Amino acid sequence: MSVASWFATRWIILDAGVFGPMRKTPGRTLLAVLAIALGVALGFAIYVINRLAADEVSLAARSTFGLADLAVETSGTGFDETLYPVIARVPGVAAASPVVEVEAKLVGRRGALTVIGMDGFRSRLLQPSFASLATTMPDDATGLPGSDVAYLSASAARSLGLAQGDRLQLQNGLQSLQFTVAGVLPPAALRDQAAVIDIATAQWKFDRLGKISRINLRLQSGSDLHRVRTDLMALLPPGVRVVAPGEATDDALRLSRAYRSNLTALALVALFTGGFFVYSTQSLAVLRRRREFALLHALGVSRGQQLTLVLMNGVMLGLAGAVLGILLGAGIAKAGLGLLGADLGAGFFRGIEPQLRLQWPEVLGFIALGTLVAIVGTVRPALEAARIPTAAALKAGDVLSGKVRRHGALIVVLFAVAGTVLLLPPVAGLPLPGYAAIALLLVGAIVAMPSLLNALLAKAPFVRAVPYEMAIAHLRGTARYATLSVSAIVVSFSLMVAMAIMVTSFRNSLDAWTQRILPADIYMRVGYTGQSSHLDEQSVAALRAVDGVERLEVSRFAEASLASGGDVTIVARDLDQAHVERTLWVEASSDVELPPGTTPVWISEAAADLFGLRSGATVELNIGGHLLKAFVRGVWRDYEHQRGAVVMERSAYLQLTGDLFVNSVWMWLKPGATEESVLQSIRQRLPAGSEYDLRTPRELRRLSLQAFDRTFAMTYVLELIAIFIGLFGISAGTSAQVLARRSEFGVLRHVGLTRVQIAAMLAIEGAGLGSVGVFAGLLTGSVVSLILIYVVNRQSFHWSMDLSVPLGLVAGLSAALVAAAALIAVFSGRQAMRRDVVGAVKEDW
Amino acid sequence: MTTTQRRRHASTRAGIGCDRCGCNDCNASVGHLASLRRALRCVAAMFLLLVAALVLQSPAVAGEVTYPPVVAGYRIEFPRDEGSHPDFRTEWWYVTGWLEDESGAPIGFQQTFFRRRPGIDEANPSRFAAKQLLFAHAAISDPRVGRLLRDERSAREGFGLATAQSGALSVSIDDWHLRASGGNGQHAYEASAQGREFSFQLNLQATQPAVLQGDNGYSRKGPAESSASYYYSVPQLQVSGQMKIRGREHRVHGVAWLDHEWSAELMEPQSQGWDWAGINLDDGAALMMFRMRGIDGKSRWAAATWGGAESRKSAPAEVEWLPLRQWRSPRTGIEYPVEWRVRVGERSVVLRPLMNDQENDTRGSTGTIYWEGAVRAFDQHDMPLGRGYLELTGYGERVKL
Repeated sequence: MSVASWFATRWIILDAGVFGPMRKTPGRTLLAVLAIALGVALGFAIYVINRLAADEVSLAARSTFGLADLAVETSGTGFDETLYPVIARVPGVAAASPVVEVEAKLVGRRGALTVIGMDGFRSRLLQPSFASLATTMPDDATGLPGSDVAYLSASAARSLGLAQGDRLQLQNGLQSLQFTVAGVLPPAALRDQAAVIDIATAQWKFDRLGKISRINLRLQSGSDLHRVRTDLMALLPPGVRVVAPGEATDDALRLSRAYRSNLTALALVALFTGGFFVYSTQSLAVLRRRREFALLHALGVSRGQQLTLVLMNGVMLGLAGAVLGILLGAGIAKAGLGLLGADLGAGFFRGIEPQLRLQWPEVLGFIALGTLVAIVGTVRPALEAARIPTAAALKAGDVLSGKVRRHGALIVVLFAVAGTVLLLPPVAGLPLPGYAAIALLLVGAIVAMPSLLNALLAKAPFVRAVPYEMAIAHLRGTARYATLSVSAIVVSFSLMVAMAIMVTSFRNSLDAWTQRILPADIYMRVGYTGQSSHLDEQSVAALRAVDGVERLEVSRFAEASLASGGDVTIVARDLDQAHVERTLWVEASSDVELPPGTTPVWISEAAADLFGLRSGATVELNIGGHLLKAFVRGVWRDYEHQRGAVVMERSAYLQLTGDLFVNSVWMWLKPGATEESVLQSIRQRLPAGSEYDLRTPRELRRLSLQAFDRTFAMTYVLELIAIFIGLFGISAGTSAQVLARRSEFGVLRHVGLTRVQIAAMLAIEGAGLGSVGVFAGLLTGSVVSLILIYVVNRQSFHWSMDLSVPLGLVAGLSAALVAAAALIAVFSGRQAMRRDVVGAVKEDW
Repeated sequence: MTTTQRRRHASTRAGIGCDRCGCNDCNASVGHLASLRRALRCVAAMFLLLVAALVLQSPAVAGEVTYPPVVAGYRIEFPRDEGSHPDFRTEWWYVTGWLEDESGAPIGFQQTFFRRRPGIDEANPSRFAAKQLLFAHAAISDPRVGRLLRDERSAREGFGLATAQSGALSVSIDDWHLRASGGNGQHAYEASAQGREFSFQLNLQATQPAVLQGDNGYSRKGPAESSASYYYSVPQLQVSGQMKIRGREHRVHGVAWLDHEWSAELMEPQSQGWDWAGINLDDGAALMMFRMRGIDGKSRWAAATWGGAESRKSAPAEVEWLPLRQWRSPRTGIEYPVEWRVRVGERSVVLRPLMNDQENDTRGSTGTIYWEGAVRAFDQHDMPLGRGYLELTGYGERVKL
């Protein structure tokens, strides 16, 4: 046999087994391709955006480090500057560049700007790109030292819209500071949104005299990094640590990882649903093409070749879908970066503006993933195709087997494994066991679908109407066939239900929490942990004296580190110790007598989870160099400080640190005083031009819910897409069936059924299938939502929430889906009957 | 950014907290009346700012420092005046010399520490405030290398990492230093520098008392009386020590020269730069000569000191600098007259460089490019007279001090 003819034979077989059928049903092929494409597109887009964000964060962290090999740093306002010469003289240290870092509130703008105070003479050894900062003999006024000039990073200049010569206004306390923009740094020099000023100016103007935040270190070439590190650590007081550039990057990314991994999981769900869609369409195709396969076998195509043929089909679908998905995904990623930013609207990364750059491994990886999903979806149908009994299937009228295999044991095992996996701890801080359990649960639900359908049909109410009876009978007879088309919708709907319940629970919990922690009438906030703006004593006294203010409570944010490692936010506030629950949402507390020498604190759930603490524990805290032995009196619910917060009494904090500054003020009004007038007089009493946040709890509640909705906007979109793919499944399944049943419709017409009756029958079938899908979806979804709320969320974000079910929304969605299923069935039926149905009777006989 | 602050960013922004709202939207949404009120407040604030700026302007001007003037009649005393004079604007300690390694090959070296009081940030209580800046240059002229090997340091004084001590000579930036090391009647100095291509630790032993330049150390630099510095030299220092050049260790010995000069206003605005030479004469005496050049290239002022402690001073008209040969730097394109005949009264001296390329680019610290190198001195009969250093500044841009 010549090579050409060898190829010709293969081609004929391929054409008959793969391309022919695909050509014959272009709509279904396209839908299958689209289903895979959508899944791949979403997964790819989210992956790429995450990767770009991660790259950018690393670069940013790297750029602040410059050429440094190590850095000595601490949290909060910094460490004593006398440590600088000690560190600089450690053997092996070639250059030491001290840095004062301040989160400076921007005046007249939202948010803060990182102000980096540097000694240009020292930093240029580590940051050659900063060499432009006039470190030569400063004869001209452009030099940094001693003048109120600032260099802006390229991203800060862009986002603030400032150029050389413009004024930059920053706030310290309630006081406004003026800087002149002396220049804009090249983009690679500093990636963060930051302003660089002279270190002495930073210390003086931002109340940091005697303190530095960090010392960047360059080691002598050939020196032993590990040894220098050990030497350094021996010199450092508690709370000051040595970090290498890579560690800072990891840290920056860790916080957003939970959010990013959850998004990725959602995107993969879309691909998962796509896989189910391929599975259902391929299974249907195999059922439909029984005679073709039998014929091919009779013509000499081996079972193995048949298996390959169907698998080839899956590969083709998968490849086409994946390639399309990559294109689509790149587009989505580009649009997403432009519209929502690198964190997709969640506000994790500031000043990061990555450009879309794709890498070959990730492109190929996602093409492979899409193809693999399609192949996996095709494996079972392919096996089935290979098993078709030739003789029986070749006979005219070979009725599709509707027999249902129960798979009872498999289902039990799947659910049992899911339950067991749930007990496992998170992997590397990610709730992977939770996701695995969800996946197992979904697969279990799909496997159980035929049995469920049978069980439900057995219980179907008896209604004396021909179309209804026929529809029920048909569903009963083709349970296996029918459930295939709903598997995709079960997956997507259950996830939608789960997400809806989770998001509603979260939103309601947040709302309840907001109201609980904001019992006052007016609420004021100046600055946050480590930020340069704050209220001093005089300002607080001025507030106290405002007419109409009955009483007020204040709090201060500070940074602290645990002796055992890790950082927390300290919230030092006026607290009624006997009734802490009035201001905090206490989840657990300990009644044990206070151990001598300890101070009672209340830790947030995140702190409890992250540091393995519970009420009744004692913990050593380092608050700005002051050591505190704390006793965990209770654990409170906190949606605000993701890295963990510790509430302590302000008086104890004052005693420890002497820090009189204040960040928040709660004000209760006298009876009869109006909010408006009090707000007015507060504004009059505080220095003009200063920036502070003055709000009523009402406003705060609205704003926090807005922020919430913005964060979850992306998840809604992903869910809708999953549902969309699910609907593809129903429509493809139904239309395939309906086309195959043309001759059946013909017979029905012959025996006297009207078109309307057939349409009604189809509608009932569709609605019935839809209902079963919805029912299964509701059941699975509810369980998945519990996993999301109590396992996934708790493990990724460390906050608990109370279950609340959006009954209306779920009911509405269910109804809409059932209606959509019915409509699709009727629509397909009408298309099928448009041609000569009566004549079609002859086709198969 | 520190990791903690990164975390802080993330927690401030990421938390679904209720208090993360910025300040602007609340103010913006109150209505017309409020915005009018806000506009009025803005105008009022602007006006206040303007007034405040005007008020603040005057102390800012008044806050400019006044440097002590250099006056004739000041009595230079040792070791007090070897130390730093932090009130003055500019000060330098300048060591140059000719060395020989084991093989007898000649090597020129120089090390300079500059101190500068920029007169800024004097009110800043921060210990980082740039009240005193220190710069250091070091360079090696090794004819086997063919060009200057050089390095530099700069830092603001403080924390013991960069020091310029008062009362006795001790200046340092990190591991570079120049300090008096003598004791029990011995007067000596230590000079040390570590560069990328070289390093040295030298001991400089004084053999004769310091030469007070000009009028008992009051050295005029121009026609204006205010244009002057306090200036003395310690010639004929016996040098011994270690020198590493491009990885190779050498034991070196030789003769060096120390200059110490401090002033408020050394350069007149009309001056472009100066030519200077300090020669250790073979007969044990010392020759220092300089001239200030105007922007037009002509001499504005010149002076010379020939002899030991009891030296002969020459008036400006008696010192004449005549270039004999030009050399153009292949890097900067600047042309330097590297060979000179200098007339000092009735005598004249010919200066010939150890090698042509001794251009020193210090744009990384003091911001100038100049030529500074080892030279041999010959008398009118072309007989060797001594060895020393020649400094040629202001041939590229005008020297900014």
